[in-house]
This record gives sequence, C-alpha cells and structure tokens, in this order.
Amino acid sequence: MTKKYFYIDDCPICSQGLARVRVHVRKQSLTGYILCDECEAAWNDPSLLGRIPRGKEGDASCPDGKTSVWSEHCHWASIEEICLLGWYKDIKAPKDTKLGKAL
Amino acid sequence: MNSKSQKETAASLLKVIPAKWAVAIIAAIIVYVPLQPRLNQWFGWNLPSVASLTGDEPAKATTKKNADAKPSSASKSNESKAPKDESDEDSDLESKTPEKKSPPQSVEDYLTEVGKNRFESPAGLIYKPGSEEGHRLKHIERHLSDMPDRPGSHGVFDGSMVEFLIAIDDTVTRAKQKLKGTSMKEDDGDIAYEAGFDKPIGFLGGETGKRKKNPKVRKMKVIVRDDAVITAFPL
Repeated sequence: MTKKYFYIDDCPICSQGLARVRVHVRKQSLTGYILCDECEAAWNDPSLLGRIPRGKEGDASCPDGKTSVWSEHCHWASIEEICLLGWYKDIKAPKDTKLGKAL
Repeated sequence: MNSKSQKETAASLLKVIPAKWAVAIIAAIIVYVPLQPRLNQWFGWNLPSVASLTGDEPAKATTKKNADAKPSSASKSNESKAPKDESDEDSDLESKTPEKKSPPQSVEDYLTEVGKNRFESPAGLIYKPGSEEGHRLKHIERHLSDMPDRPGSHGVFDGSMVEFLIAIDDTVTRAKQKLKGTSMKEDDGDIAYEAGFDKPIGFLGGETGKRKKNPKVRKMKVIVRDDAVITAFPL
C-alpha cells in the first residue's frame, strides 16, 4: 500500500527530508508542529521560520519542549487534523489523493 | 616482453644503487603492499597497487579490488587497534588474493558498543536510540533501498550497511579536515557534513529520482549533533 505523504515542503536543513505536519495530542487538545522526517528538524508552524530546540540527548521535541516527538502522544497528522489546524493550504499532497487533486 | 625488460631495468638499477638504499626500497615495498588497499579504503585514496605500477595489472582492476575489499579490511582494523602482527598481515593479504569479494562483515564488527544500545564508529560517531524507527541505525538503513513512491528525493547507497557506515565515517573525517570537495555547515547545533567521492556511491531515488531516471550520485551528507548521527544519505 502506498503511504500517503502530506508535507509542507522539502526540508531546508537537510534538503532530502519532507517537512511534515505532526500533532501532539494531550487532554483533548491538539498542538500541531512541523517535523522533518529525515533530520528531525522541527518548527512551530508551516512558515518554517521558528525552529523548536531539540530536547535531551538531541532528540526532537514537541513545542512544549518536554515531550519527544516519538512519544505515544504524537503522530503524523491526518488530513482532518491538518484542516483542524488550518494548515491545509500550506501542504503539498500526492496527486492520487482527493486533496492532491483539489490543490 | 615489456614486463621482462622492466624487470631487467629494475635489476640493473638495484646493482647501481647502494645496498642500504636497495634494502630500504624493498622494505618500503613490503610495507606498502599490505597497507595500500587499507589506506585506499580508510581515506578514500586511490593509491595504485604494486602490481599495477609494474604493469602486471591494469589500473582499473586495482580500483575495483579495493572497493570489493572494503568491509573486510575495515572491520579488521577496528578489531586490531593493538599492535599489528605480521603474520596477520600476511594471512589478510593471502585471503584477499584468491577471492574476488570478501564476505560482508557485520555492523557489530565495525562498531563498538559503548553503552546500552549505543554504538561508536572508528571515527567517533555515535549511533543511539532515536528516530521514528527506534534507532539511528535503523533510520539510516532506509537509505540502502529505494522508496520510489516517496515525494522528493531519496538518496540510495549502493552497498552493504557496513560499507555505508564506512562511507559516513569517511565523509565526516574528511569534512572535519576541511579537505577539498567537502563542506561543514552548522544550524542550531546540528552540523551537516558533506563530501564528494571520486566514484558513484549510489543513486537518486524517490519520486524525483524516478523522474530523473535514477541518476548516480557521488556525494554524501551526514547530519550530526554532539557527535551523534541524526541521519546520513547520498545526494
């Protein structure tokens, strides 16, 4: 099965990763951020301007600065979550998806 | 015929030069023969073998042989940082001569375990738990095969995992020395090392690579933070 990739852009740091939307869900609140799936550079929003500092041991961390992006509270955003965050206009989507055709 | 005349020339040369110089030259050759493939592999040099210098072997074959011997000699160097044993050198040389390809060595042979799930390469790079795959080694392993449906570029290393780790070490070592064809860029604590190789090390995969008909690539990029490898890939 082809994995669907929704991403903002190519990563400006490593040039080969995809800057993808990831969400942190805690107590029914959703916090979105952007994470490169190759070098794990993280940003607060799709502008890719404000980098989120890495946490302990150099691991990428959520905007709260405490939670690892690979913790159970985080996952790659679904298209519904991207819409909830209001970032759907910022993303690129595969052409074979409904969103990709619409964009 | 040509080879014979070369040998005669060498013999006549030995008669002319003083004995101590002849001994020194022969000793240098004895040291050079086993070291040449290792130096090529460790530092990415392209030193010719003695056979190719004397015209017994074409230069191209030398390069290929060195590439084939990569994993074997590198892991051995890691194992034996202790004093070198001459007999070991000889047996190493003998084992390379008859077979075309050395058996692939395991990652465990090349890396040293320095803690729980933490491994250190000969160049001092650390591979530890992290990334979506759970461990950095697993993360970089993705670059041993293509992901043709992945948007953008996906560099694919053409070789085994051990050869990939050797190339990563080589990239960082050369970039730290600021050698020609390398670069080092720091961004918020992450250091991106880049180095070119004199021959292709892989190809460009992913959707972009597929569109460009998977061109061969000669560069490697390594992202490091506090000596810990975050990722590495050919580009």
